[in-house]
Amino acid sequence: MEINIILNGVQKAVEIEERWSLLRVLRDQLGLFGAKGGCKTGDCGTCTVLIDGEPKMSCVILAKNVDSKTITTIEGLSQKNNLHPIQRAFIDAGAVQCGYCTPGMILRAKALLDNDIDPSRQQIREAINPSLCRCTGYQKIIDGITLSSQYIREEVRT
Amino acid sequence: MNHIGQPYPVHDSVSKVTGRALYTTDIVLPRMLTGAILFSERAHAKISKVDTSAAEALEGVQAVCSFHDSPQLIYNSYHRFVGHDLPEDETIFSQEVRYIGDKIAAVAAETPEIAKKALRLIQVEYEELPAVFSIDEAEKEDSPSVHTNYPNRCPDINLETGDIENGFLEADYIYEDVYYTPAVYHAALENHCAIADYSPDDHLTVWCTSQNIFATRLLLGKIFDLPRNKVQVKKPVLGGAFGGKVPMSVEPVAALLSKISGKPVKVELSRREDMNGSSTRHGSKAKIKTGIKKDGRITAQEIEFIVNTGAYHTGGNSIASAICYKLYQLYKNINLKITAAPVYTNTTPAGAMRGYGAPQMMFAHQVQLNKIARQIGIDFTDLQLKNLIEPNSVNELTKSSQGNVRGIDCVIKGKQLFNWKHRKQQKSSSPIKHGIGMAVCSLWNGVYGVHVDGTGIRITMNEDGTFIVHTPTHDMGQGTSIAIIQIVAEVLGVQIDDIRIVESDTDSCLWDLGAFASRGIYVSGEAARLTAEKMKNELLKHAADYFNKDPDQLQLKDGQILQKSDLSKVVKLADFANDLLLKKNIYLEVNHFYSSEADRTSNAAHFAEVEVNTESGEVKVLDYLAVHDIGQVINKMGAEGQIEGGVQMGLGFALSEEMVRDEKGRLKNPNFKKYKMFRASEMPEIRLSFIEKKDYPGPYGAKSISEIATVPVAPAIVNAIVNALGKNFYALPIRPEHLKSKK
Repeated sequence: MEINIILNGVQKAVEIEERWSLLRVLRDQLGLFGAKGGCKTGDCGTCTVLIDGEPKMSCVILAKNVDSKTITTIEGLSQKNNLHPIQRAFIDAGAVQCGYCTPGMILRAKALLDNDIDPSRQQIREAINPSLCRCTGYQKIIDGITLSSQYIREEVRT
Repeated sequence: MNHIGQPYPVHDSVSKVTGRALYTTDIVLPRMLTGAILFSERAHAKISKVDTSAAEALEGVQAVCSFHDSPQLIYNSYHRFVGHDLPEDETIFSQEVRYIGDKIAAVAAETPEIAKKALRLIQVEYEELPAVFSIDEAEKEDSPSVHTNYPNRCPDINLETGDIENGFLEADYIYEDVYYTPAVYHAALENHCAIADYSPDDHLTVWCTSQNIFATRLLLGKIFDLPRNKVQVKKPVLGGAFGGKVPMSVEPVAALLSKISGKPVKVELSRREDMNGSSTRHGSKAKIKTGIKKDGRITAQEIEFIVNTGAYHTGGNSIASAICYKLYQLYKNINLKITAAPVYTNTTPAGAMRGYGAPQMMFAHQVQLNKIARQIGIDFTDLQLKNLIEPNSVNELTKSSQGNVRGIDCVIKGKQLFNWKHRKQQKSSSPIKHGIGMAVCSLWNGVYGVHVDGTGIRITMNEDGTFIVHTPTHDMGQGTSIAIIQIVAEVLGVQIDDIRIVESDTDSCLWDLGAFASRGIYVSGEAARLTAEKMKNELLKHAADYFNKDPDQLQLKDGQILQKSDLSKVVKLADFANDLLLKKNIYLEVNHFYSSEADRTSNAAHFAEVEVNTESGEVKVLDYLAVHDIGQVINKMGAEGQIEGGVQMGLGFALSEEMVRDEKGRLKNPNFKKYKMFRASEMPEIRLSFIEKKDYPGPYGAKSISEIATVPVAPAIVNAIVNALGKNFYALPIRPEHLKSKK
């Protein structure tokens, strides 16, 4: 079957099989490898993408159910080779170690900051709670999201 | 110094935040097939029949193999170098399966769906054998044998020093306790994965999630009877490892499927398969007898430590010896008698995991000492300070200096920062109890004195004065690459951006022992520093002709070569390099192989405050302080990140993580829904402090950090809980049901 989606700002028609997950379509059909399959049971968050702006686990969502929706993956966050402020902040805060959780964490941060540009550390903790990280103890990821908020505000000002 | 001690993000952070980083699981090769493995569903059985004919007949299947048609070489997946002495008891596929997760057969097919279907078509007949799962069961005389040719309990490692009898006679109190820790899972977010391409000219290329590519090359060479130049092993970007990717895993299966099909094959484990079939931390049982004076001085300790090595030996005897050595590097008492042994059980093989025996040993040891301190009425930190070794004291076993060990400084600084003295336990009748606790530990840097411990580095200068560094030091996210770049940039007087790193490819990098045993900064970092010094000497030797001065009158700074006596005499490295290559035909490249020259330890003291709700059993960590002696900090951001991550792993070990099995040996929690790791909302804010006293021969006086960060966490938390409730605990993890007061 065919689905029509807006993927990273571009209208796309994609031929899929009914039983395929969105993660499988992103990786195997569309060559977008930023979303990872860390568990494929919806428990680790490495496959997180934004569907109509909401962070979702693409491994447990059937591709046929995202027909006509807007999807943002990590590849759609930076404008060509210019990093998004959240990406810059993750780097500057040392939020990245092995990096396997990073795309999902950044997209959760984006969804959070789109709704509330000045979240508390506790709100950040709740927002990234569905995503596991085994490297950082989350501390520098939370620092990175706090710094993102600052970078985004600076960008708006300039 | 320009770069040493500064914070820099990991070298590949831009590719990681943009989703461009290619992990093994992301790599797709032309014509590549999907490989899948049939794992045993019995804990212990003889396979009387494997019928793969239906799978072979399925359209889209291009290779099928089992123990019938695979190399029969018996190996140990932890084998590291020629002459490495380890019991060998593994094969690619097993005719006698010894745990749920042992490999029986494999297929390669055109799609994942066909591969899965083909696995279901393989018929297996099991002749079930009696199985054994726990240390206590495995030690019984009538216990079923996991291996018919080995007893369940592997040979003991025994150490005895000082005068144990007199030590106990001298004691005012003697305590004897038994402690248990469970098998836990590394939980690196990238599952084990390998892609193999076996070409018709008998050349094997493997991309894999390994933290030991040279050992993997050695083993694959043995299994497929290929020389080293015909096996290339590469580690792409790696999504975490924590010791779980030290042993060879699915690599030989991918290689065999590729050899049969004539196409590249990718084998990627699912999370469930990874939990069942990769490796775990050794579960343990420790009997500790401690003699102590009224003033808190330890007079003697007798310890029996048994570790559950699972179905195969792997590194069982080396972890047992590592456990034996630990206390000599931490405490003054030398009246020590220690016995350690691995036992086989029908469970997932245990292996290296962050801390390598230290988390188990220090849990038992520090929790007992805290109990003793409470009972004899001494402040626990005072007891620590009475017993910890002084800097540069002599190790009773090696008879050589312990180096600049600063465990005492960690305790003193931690006490002050944590306000230990004034943060008294609150006695309250409310169901919410508060407690503070602490623990110390030390951890070896590298494996000096045990076996070979070397790393080779190559530095090449480009014709524009920038450099390429080839390092075999696997970056798994822990940041060894950026640390090496910092060190090389420091020596050569250039910027971080002037250095490009190429890592972990057996064809282009020099040999290395592997990424484990806290050798990254301490051994590979020093190898990088010495290689850079060699490059600097070469450069200055050639520059001496240009300046008509001796090399020692010249220096490298800010991308230039300068004459020390007259700073106006200067040449840009870019111009000099171009002339050197294009006019003089000199290509500057240096190689250096460095082997560790001393055993040094990192040290730490961790402090925690917890709140225990005795109605719900919930534990909240309210405050957490980690103080670390790691010599010169090379990369502050990286060092902090290692500790913060180590605390997350240690908290899970203390309070939630455990591989739980049913009576048949099946994992009851083979997924992240049921295997509970600390999530962001459960983590405390972590406070950090460093004791930066240089210790050599680490580079610039640096020592390692990643493993030790996990070690003191569980005992610090347990001691805080014990102090909150006034009740002792002897086994991990401490779950809510253990903390609810009985009504």
